[in-house]
Amino acid sequence: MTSQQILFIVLGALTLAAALMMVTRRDVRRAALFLMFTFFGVASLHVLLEAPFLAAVYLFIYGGCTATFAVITLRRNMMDTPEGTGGHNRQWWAAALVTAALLSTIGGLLRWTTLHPDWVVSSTPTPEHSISALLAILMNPEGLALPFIVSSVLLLITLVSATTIARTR
Amino acid sequence: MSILHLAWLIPLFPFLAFVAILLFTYRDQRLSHRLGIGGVAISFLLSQAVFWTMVLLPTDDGRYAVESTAPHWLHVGQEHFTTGVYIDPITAVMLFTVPLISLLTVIYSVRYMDFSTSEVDSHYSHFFAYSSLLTATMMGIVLSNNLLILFIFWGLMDLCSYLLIQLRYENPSPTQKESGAPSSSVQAGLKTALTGQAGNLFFLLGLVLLYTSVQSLAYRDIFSPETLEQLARTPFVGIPSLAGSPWSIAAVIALLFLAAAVSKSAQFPFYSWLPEVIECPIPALALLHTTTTASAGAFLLIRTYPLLTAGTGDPQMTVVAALGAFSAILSSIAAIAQDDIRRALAFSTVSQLGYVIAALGMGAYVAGLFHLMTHAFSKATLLLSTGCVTKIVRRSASLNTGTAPTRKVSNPNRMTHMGGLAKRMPRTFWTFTIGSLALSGFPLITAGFWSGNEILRRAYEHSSVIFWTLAVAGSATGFYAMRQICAIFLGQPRTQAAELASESTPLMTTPLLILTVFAVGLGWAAIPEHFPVIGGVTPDWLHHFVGSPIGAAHTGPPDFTWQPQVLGLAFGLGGLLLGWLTYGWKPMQTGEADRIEAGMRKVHLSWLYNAAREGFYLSEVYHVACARGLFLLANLGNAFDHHIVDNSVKHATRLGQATSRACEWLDDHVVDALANLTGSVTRQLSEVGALLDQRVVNRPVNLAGPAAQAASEVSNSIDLRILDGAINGVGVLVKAGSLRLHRLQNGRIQHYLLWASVAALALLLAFIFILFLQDYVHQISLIVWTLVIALLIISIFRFRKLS
Amino acid sequence: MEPLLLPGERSSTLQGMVPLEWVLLLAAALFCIGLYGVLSRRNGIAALMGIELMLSAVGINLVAFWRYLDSETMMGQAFVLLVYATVIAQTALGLALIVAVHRTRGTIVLEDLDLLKESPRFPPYGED
Repeated sequence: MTSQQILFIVLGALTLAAALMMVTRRDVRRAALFLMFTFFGVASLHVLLEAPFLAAVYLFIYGGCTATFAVITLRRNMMDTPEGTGGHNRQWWAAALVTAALLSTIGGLLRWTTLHPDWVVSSTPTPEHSISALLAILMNPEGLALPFIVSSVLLLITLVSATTIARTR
Repeated sequence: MSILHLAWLIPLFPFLAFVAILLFTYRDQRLSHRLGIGGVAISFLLSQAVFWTMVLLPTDDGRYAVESTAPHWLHVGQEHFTTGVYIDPITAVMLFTVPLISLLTVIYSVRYMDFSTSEVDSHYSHFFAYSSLLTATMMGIVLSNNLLILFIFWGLMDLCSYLLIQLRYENPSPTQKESGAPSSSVQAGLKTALTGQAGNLFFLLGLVLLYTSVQSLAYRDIFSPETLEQLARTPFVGIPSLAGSPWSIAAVIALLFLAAAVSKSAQFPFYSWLPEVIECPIPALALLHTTTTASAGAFLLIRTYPLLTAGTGDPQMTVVAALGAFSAILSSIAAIAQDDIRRALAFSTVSQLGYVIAALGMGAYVAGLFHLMTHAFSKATLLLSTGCVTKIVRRSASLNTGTAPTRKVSNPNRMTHMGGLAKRMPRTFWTFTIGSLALSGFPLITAGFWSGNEILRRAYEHSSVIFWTLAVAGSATGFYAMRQICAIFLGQPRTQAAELASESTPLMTTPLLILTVFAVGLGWAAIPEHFPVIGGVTPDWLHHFVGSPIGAAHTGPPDFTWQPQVLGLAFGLGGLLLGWLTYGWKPMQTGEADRIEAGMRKVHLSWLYNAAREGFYLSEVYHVACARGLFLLANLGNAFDHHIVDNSVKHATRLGQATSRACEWLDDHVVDALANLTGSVTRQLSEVGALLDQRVVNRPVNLAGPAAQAASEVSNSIDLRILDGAINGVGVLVKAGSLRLHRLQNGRIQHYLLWASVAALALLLAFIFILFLQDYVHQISLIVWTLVIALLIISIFRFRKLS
Repeated sequence: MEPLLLPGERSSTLQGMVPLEWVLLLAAALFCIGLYGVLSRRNGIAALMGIELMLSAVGINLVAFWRYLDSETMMGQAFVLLVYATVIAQTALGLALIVAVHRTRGTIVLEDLDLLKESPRFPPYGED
């Protein structure tokens, strides 16, 4: 067991613990806090997987933007209904069953099958100038330039639709 | 490892105190103030240790610096940023001053914020938290070894000053127009923050320019002689050149940093935030004026001084000196016209910092730093004594009226409400007087004299315009200082509140006394050697210690010349004397208007007096230019949209309507005629056909009729019995099944999602089965069929009752 | 019965790295926890948070595959950035919908939002 593996186990356990706490909290605000913790855990896993830039972007987008957005919309009159809005609904046992089944299936699949033989797992180092390489791919017409532009359009459309849906008439 | 390598701990402890108070101990006030004072005290002890270590290091020429870095702190792409601590004599001097004043202020504020009394301030703990953070950020600025870290702490300081200024945010402002408007402390805080942001923009531009030229932001790299040489030589394209020679990049960067410093240190175009900070607690105000926000700006200029003097340094240094001198004289005139003591002291700070900046602009680098220090001590003394006075006045006002003290009762800061407090508050009186005299440079005994003198001497050699400007500002300083002393302390009390005043507690006056000692004694650290009689007794220690700036030519302390000394003395003492004659000879009575104001009204110059009182209307100018300008633009845009765009849309629709009417006419008259014609032709043809059908076709058809009738009766019975039965049976089955299945469709999305997940899981299992588990077909199909049949049975029994 | 191929000592444990299967398992676990959150929480916003978890798991998966199989180029990371754009779009719309639903229906408890339900009419098209 190398130190990297131990670190992975610890971080993974923390992340999963935070995620579990998140889905079981009665109070939605507590759940949001644990969601933030999960984000930090996942970001640290990204760093472990040698994608530090992505970890930072991840924190910005999920942690920062999502949390900010949620805070703005989580108004008190939304949260404090007479019978409370937290906790689980009537089908939680079925959900737990289905989820456990899915997890066991995937776990079994991972344990007892092999990856495709063409997928040679390598430990080659990541590119040197990572951020300029990233940008080179994103801007390259033969790379991901078109999806990049399309996702910009997507964000624009989403922005317009979200404001239209949510505006007060 | 010497203490110098542990210098990074200096900002750490107050920062920890801030975190601890804010998160954990804000309910316990005693613990909060202990944490706050403790954090600043540890920082103070460490700073003193560092300072004395630096002093006792063997030196030559004063050009040494100690740096300890943490390399590879931040990777961005292929660049590395390092961070660390940089201690040179300038840092050491600031380390001596700032934590000392912060510690004394924080101790003072225990009693100022009414600890353990019934009127204890509700924001007591938060005050200590924010003060600790402010001290920590200033220490960070002082100790940083590159401009990026300095900028980060600079921004944090913006936040801190905002938090401290709006500490009492729920207090209503006396001139509140609508109930929804934020209180005046919040507005003042916003103004400070916004001015800071404007400065931050310039700072960032300077950083960008510097980085693109030098590829580094660490002092070690920027201030090396080769880099400075290169920066001074490279011209900056894009702005018109001055007198034939273009601006060098070093000049532009230095000017950008000047703009940032101007916004933080409240110099000419950006000084309007400082006088508005009226509702802030006085200890916080003391910190802001003396050690942190205001002096951070000057510190930035001192730090980037080599950029200022790179090359020949002429055009940018002239700008700096002119700006400083102009601010100095403008604000000292404004300070004369103030009634509110806090506004007067704010303008006084602007003026003195103008001196510092002018000194830097003239190459008097050590003199500027020295004046910053002496100003810090004398202004801190003044502000804290003012705090004593206003607190006592407010308390005795409340005793008078018997109600709890609120700000609406009377503004305790107005000097017209004071008077005659010398007998009632002797210690405060003496500390305030000594502080004022130090500020205005009373000769020989006060520290302010030595520092101001140094600056005047340099000004005399450098440029006569600046010399006369600073000299007049000096006399104005003396005038308003004496005005304040007389108005507050001499004569007879002008209100009942002032009459009932008494001395403050020792916890407040002792820090004052310590500060006064420094305000007086610090001067002896830098008496120039050529001064007659006294000079040479003690070495000009500050000059030797701080020495010459990095990269500039080494200039020894200048020779002693008569003229600037005598003129400076004359102006300073003259100002004091004029003040005494105007205000102290016959002190003002109750209800009497300010004498200068009355005098100017008589010569029809009261508009000038009012302009000075309002800080020369600078914030109104900004309001009209920026805010109204934006509204004007918005209204123009609105009008454009309304009149032009809407009208074009309207005309387009009219055009469409006309077109459609034309088509309608066409349809009516042309198309319908054709249709009618076709209709009549068809009618004729059909009449012929009907005749044909009647005579020819009917005969054989009538024969076929009965035969068909018989056949249809047979098929009818088949249909009724068999087919209908089957179809009805199917219908019944479907109905029953759909009723049960309908319960699935309860409109709840999570229910649908659950079924979707189940289906996905089933698909996944099916894929796994097909891909991997071909050999186990029989076992798996057995299990699956069992499950299916069990589900069917369960569902039949469960959903027996139809809803 | 043909034995299943066991992974055995794979090249993923070169130099003591974390095996790829562990990371995939972690991502799967996170995904399933998020799915549980979506399916079983009463509050609409809590369900949205579950969706966030699922998307995070997807991100981890992508990065893991990039790191282990394709780490010479940055294509994997660029793709993940595009996924983040989609995530932001989804979050924005989801929260806008929550706000709109709260305004019109007054509740964000998902069990009470059954507008998709068609009221049963029996018989559906007139009497038999």
